[in-house]
Amino acid sequence: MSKSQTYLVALDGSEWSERAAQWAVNLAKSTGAKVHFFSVIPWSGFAPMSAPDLAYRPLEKAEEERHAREDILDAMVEKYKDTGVEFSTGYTWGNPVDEVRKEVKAQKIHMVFAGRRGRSKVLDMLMGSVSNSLAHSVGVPIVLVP
Amino acid sequence: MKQVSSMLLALMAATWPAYGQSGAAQDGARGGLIGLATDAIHTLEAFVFATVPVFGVEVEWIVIWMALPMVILTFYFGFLNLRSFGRAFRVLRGDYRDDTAPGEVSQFQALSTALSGTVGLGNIAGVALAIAIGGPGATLWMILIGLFAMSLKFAECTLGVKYRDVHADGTISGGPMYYLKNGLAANGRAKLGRNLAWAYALIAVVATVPQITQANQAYSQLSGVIGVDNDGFALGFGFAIAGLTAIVIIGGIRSIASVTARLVPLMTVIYISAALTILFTNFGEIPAAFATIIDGAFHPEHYGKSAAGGALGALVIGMRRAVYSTEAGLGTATIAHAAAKTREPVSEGMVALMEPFIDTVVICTMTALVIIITGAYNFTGSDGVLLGDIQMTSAAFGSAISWFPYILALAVLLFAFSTIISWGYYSSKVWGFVFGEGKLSMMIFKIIFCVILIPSGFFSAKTVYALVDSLYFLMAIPNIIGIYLMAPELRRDTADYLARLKAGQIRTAKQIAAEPAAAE
Repeated sequence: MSKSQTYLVALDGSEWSERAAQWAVNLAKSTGAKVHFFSVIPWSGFAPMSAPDLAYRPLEKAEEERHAREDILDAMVEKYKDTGVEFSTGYTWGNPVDEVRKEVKAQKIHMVFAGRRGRSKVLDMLMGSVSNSLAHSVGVPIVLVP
Repeated sequence: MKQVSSMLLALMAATWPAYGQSGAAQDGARGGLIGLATDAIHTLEAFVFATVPVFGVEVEWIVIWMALPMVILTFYFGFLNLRSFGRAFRVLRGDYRDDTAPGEVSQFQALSTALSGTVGLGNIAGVALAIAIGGPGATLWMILIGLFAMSLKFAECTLGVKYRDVHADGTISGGPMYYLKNGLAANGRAKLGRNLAWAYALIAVVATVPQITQANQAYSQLSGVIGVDNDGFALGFGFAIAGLTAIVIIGGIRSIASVTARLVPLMTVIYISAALTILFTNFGEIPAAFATIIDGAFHPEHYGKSAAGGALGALVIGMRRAVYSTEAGLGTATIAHAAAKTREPVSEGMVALMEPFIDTVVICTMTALVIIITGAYNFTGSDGVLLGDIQMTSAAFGSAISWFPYILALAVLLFAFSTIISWGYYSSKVWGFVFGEGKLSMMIFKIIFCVILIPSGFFSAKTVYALVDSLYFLMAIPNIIGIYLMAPELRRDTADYLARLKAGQIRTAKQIAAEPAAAE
């Protein structure tokens, strides 16, 4: 395999997504691929907000940004820094499925790793499942880590 | 802060004795501070709602003051209000996402927040009130003024975005205080701008802090529907609404407000759907209903409203309700619009002009048609008197959908609460401008804001309404002076924006996705 392959790991700070990172790193160690840690902060510009929400938004955004960068992405890079794998990170706001799909295109990702929450089928049907939607729309091979 | 409070005290000391003199004879028995205050309120009310004769009809000068810029600006901007629907829709849909960074307050959100502050009794009950006094025809004038109000809303919200203060942490201070001060300074009238800004802020701080009217109207609708009205219930209601507000604004638990903010659009949709259902089941009667409105607009006497004073009388009644309903000219909505993330103030103005369209034109037309088709304007209550106000709306919907009055009561409660929260934010900004945004100052504000809500169930006293209403309208004086002075600048900005839009210089989200490198 060529060295230029890149894996994307969808991270949201959950233990499932961290297990996905573990799998991606383990595979990258043997294939020599790069790993791109990517976090999407759920956000919709169409969700109505109250006036106080409006006022606090810039502060909240700054806090979300810090959390994604320090607690999620940098923490992962720190955890695997001795593996010899090359890492990059990225984060954005929006619908997780849409944003991951866009990032896959933009970064020319070869393979996606995502955690799969151990929810029942009924709950999945009711609440929708990010990992299922990803699997159906991402357009590259995807590994769902339970 | 010290300076300001001494200024306020001086202002009070200077004005109150003057009111006291006239009042002593009228209300001698009570006397004391309360008597003085009552007299001051009456004098203020008499001043604000003083009428002038226009073509033989007595019209409050303040209504003319507020309606005139709506009409003048509509012509001055070349009917921009009617030409901007497509553009406003595209902006709202997020087509021009180049200036809406991910994770920031979108223009859609700013509009929905501003709407949650204006949709409410002013629209739903307002149209019924207009019909009760001026006959079905008053609706036509109300809708027309609603259309003109869009231009004034456009003007103030564009200014709100253009002249806002953005702080280092990204938070924003906006509203008339800021655009009067900064905007007029940019136009070479710094001193006038400062004076108008302070005049606005001093009036607004007294007018917007007591949100008694909202809570009081919500109480009366609730007690009407469940049929309980006593002191204990009123007090309980007051504590409940003050408590909920305190949880949000003092406790910082914003989730309650967030849930309300999400429910308000839902309630609005339910309301409009119910109206559409009634209209579609009576589809054949819609032309006749419009004929009634148009006939009534010119001949209110055909509908037993000879007291309305002919077509002009009906016009004045519609105009008055429309001014209440749109809140254009008061400048408060600009505080919400200023929070939107955009580099184009004019585009926010175009979004904002949808506000009077939705809350006055659409909701009023629907409500009026339902009232006319169901014949609710001829319904009488148990006391044999014709219904007016919210009861007429409630009865109109209730005659077609029997359980709807309960939904309406719930909607009114939600609208009232979201309005209180929105106005709590507006008044906190005004308070911050006057007394500083320090921790102590803001805590004093929050406590006062919540405590004032507690006795709201008891106030049927017209005095309180009179005070709040007259101060409320007074805010329009400095605001509208400023808007007149900045109108040429607004016209230039609009022409510039439209030219750039036409030349394709304002890139769409799609163009940026295609070639992100050229985004800046």
